[in-house]
Amino acid sequence: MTKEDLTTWFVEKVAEESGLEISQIKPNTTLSNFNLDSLSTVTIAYDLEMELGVDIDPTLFYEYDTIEKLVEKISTDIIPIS
Amino acid sequence: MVWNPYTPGYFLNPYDHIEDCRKANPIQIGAHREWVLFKHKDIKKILRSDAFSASDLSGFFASKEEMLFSSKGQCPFLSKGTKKWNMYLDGIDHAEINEIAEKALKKFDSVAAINHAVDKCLSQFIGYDSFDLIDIATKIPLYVVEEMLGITGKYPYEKLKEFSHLLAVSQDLFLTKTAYYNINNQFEWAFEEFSQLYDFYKSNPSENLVSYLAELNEQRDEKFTSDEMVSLLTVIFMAALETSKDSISMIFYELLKDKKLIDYIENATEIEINVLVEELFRISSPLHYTVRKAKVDFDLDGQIFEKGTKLYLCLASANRDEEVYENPNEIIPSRNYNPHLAFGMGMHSCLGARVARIELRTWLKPLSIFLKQYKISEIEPPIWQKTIFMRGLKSLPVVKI
Repeated sequence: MTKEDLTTWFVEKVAEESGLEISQIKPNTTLSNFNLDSLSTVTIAYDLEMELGVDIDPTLFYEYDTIEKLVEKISTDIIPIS
Repeated sequence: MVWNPYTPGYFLNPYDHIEDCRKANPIQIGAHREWVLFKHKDIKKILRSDAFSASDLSGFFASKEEMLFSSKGQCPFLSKGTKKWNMYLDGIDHAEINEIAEKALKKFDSVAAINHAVDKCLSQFIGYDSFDLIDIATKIPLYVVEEMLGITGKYPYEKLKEFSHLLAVSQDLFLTKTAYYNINNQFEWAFEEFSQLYDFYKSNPSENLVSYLAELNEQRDEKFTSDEMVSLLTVIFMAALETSKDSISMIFYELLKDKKLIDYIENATEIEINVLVEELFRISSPLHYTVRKAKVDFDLDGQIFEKGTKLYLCLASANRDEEVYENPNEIIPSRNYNPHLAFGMGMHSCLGARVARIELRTWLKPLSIFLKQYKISEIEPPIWQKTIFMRGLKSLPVVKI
């Protein structure tokens, strides 16, 4: 998986959880703008855990609040991808 | 030092992280962006104060159900199922449900039920070279609950184990939607089965808790609807089974690591057992956190919590606070000053505390003697649950020495 794949995965997940169109999800927009409920972020974190096979801390979503920042954090510290 | 249950190793051993938080930053905003308190004195003050209410679990579910279930075609049972969970109620709602539950619990002969359960359970494990201690830890309280509700042998063991566990998990932090769907299915099952149970014992009273509750409700002109009584039965079931299961397994996880304690128990007098029981509740209490909400602005020694602020109170930290306890991480059987908060404190202190004490005082010695010949398996290490509010073991394999 590349950073690009991970970004696409996030965009699709956020669209699914928020009910918005994929085209409306920009990686540099703060996640709170997509009206994501806390249950949705936990669900995304869990799905990501399943996808990547590593533990994902759901509180990451508080600190890294855009898809771009999350992808950067995950690819640097959690699962090295380019 | 920021509280974060996703700190590596937390689920294996949360106490080090909790201790670090207590020492470095005992009143703090955790990684989940809400307040967490760690010191015994602060937590005690909040629990005793009438400026705080319990968090409203049923209301929380009511606010989430539309989002969770609107596209699923599933009927929501979460809010209805937790509506009479007394630990999340306040004021008159809390007082009324507690009054009826307390009376029914007092009328039920817990001692006899516990003795039956211990005998029935241990007889199944005689001669085994190895087994999962979780099965003993589950079966003892399960047999008690079955007798309490008049459902002995009615449902499969695995079904009741899962039911109790998922109900307990419903209160945890960071649950996914799938987890809520699974919990909802459990409540749906309870509304079907426990409604029939309640109606049956209402018409055919027997010496069990359901009959006593039905009788007490009748004396109160059916103050509580059938659905509300089912909600009460679910919380009694969950609290009696899950907390006891977690207590038994966590206590023996500690005791099997230090055989001197088992020897002490074997030779202890009744009074010594009673003192040790409190120490075991302090060190191994499964309820690690409880939540309170400020009803008004509140000043905690200079720290202002505005009305509506949610506080996560770390009971597991309070119970190991070095300002209260000498050598807080050690089990000291004769510890005589033990103001632990394993059952909370104040208005919402645990309704089942009396039964829990009777249980532990009853099973501690026979179970210790039985388990003396076993040790924790080195080949299959214990597996901890990935839960935050209620700590517990998923599996604790033991082998004959």
